[in-house]
Amino acid sequence: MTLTAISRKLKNAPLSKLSGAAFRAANPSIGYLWLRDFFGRLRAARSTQKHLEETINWLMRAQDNAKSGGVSGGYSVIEGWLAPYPETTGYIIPTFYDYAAFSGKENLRERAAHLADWEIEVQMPCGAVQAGLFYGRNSEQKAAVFNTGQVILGWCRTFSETKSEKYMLAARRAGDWLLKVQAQDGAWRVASSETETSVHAYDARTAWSLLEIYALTDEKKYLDAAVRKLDWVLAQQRENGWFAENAFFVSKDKWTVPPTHTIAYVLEGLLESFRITKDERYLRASEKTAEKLLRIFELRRFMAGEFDEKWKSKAKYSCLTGNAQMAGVWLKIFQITSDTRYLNAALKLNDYTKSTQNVATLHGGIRGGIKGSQPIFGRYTPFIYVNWGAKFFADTLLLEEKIMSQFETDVLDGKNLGAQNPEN
Amino acid sequence: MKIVLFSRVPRWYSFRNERLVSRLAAEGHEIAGIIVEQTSTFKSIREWLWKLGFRVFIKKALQKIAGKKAPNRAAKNILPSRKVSPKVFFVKSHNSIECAAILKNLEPEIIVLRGCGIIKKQILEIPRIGVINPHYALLPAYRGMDVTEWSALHGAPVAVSVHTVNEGVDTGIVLKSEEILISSEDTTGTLRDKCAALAVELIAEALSEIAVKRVLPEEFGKAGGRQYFQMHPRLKKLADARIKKFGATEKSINEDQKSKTKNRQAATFAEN
Repeated sequence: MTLTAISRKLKNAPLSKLSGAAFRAANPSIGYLWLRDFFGRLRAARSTQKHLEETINWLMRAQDNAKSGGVSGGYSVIEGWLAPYPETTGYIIPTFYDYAAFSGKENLRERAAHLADWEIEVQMPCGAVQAGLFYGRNSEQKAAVFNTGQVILGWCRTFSETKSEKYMLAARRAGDWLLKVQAQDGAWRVASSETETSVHAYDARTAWSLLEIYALTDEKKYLDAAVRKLDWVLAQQRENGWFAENAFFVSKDKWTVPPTHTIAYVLEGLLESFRITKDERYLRASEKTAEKLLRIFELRRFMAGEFDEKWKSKAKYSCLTGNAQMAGVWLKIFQITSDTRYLNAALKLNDYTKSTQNVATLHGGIRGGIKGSQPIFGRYTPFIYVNWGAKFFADTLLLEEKIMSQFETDVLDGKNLGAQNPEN
Repeated sequence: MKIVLFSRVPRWYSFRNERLVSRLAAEGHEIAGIIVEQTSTFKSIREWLWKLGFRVFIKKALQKIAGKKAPNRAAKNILPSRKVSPKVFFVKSHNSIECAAILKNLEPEIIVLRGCGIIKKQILEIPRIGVINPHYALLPAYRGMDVTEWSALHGAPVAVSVHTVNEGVDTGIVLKSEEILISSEDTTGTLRDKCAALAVELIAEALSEIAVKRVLPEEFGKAGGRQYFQMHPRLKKLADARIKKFGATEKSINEDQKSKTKNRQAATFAEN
């Protein structure tokens, strides 16, 4: 974000926001954060375990600070804790279950089930999930395709964990709404209040959510709809691995290139769809893009926050959510292919994200949180520690821990890894 | 043959008693010059420490300060060593116009790379015969960076290859290749040191063959393998742990050749 953009935002900001920002900036933790980010200073990365624990603690605080239920969208250094965000609350549910299984902390299961119940409470009558933050039962709700898909993931997981039919019922209602609004070619073209674009390659994750319903119900209509969408997504992939129709905006004065966040969304959707359908096309497509980003990251030793159709980027900021997601994608590809280059890149990218996370401060909104951008005034969700950044970072650290534990055993057992045939 | 060496070191680095230089001179080649891409002392020390580890780095530094000549097969067993002091040229980049001008003036038949980045086409086309490079792993399987470490981590043979250079990353034709025998006392740092010693021998052997044919083999098809990048410290520690545990017992590509290789390398590493 340029200085002119910042000054324009300041001019347009209401007085309450400005006074709030000034008040919060007086807090030493936030003042120090501004200074560090202005000078581009990073911290030494601690152990994965430590960062994981602090990230989960931040997510729990975000849940506790969402007064009307769900998980707060994030902590803004200008506005404080934000209202709950139904979309991201939905996909935080599996993270809580995964961490409970990993750490043995059973209270996380209760928290996850509580979130799934809240999602049912705020589900729209048509079955969809609303766009944006939830400002109370009397505020207007606008249905959103992607958001609906992400909450389905949470309901399906809660159903698998609890076997309570109410979650499956909610997921089916949401899934049926997605089927109803799907176009003939598989794409969803529903106007969203959050984006200028109405059709998105990153709805690969929405297709994955339909596959989750299919996996639990065996109802072919969900599989067919998901495959139609996934085929549409594959058609958006360019020869160089870049996906078209994957940005939030189209106006020239706005942000018309995809951030790494949406690029990684596509890859996650394709990889998870491969896991369920075993269709190799989805794996190959995600590998193509993942390898391109791996080379870019390794050669530049920095992951820019956005990329145009030629994989060029003018961005000086890094999208930390996108980083966490890309590391997760690389780790999953390593699990499938055993190509250690993906593991290596994921470890390095996670180190970078760790170095942007403050795990020492006493400030509850900052400690263990993940900023939208590094620096905090970068283009992607500036000035906010976003709950989805923390969610994806927790996911990738959890996966890193599991993979490294197995990998260390394999290496020290003398297993032959990687390129065994020198000709390959 | 008229040779130019490419290197990347700080300005104070001395090529006096440089193993490769004296070895090539002993073989009767003319070292027309060394073109150095100057790096900062801090960056170089950090890189050497990363590559060699603290113990090997200190040992090498002390050897250098004491002016001790690193041994090599030919110097010790075959040919008398010759004192050589080739001209050293400092450039900002090996791909610069300045470097091209120096090269055109020197008119080398062949360029030998010794630790530098990707060389662009306009430079590769200057020497009459071509460009060769030592690479510390089997090719094409392990292309790119930290390949000694990657080979060790995977339990694959650690080797040195000498190959022709094209615009790709380690995608040329392999001229010479030899596996390094690993002991359980080795670390990735000592393996790199062994690779450096063996690379001198393989370069000399490759150049002797090129001197007869006066031409490099032609390339065909696309190189296979994978391009590796700098290894994460956590994986490097694992590679060292693997060497320590299985060093001497890791499977070789060709077990029959193991004893032959062992005798051959004994001379190279004896005093290294």
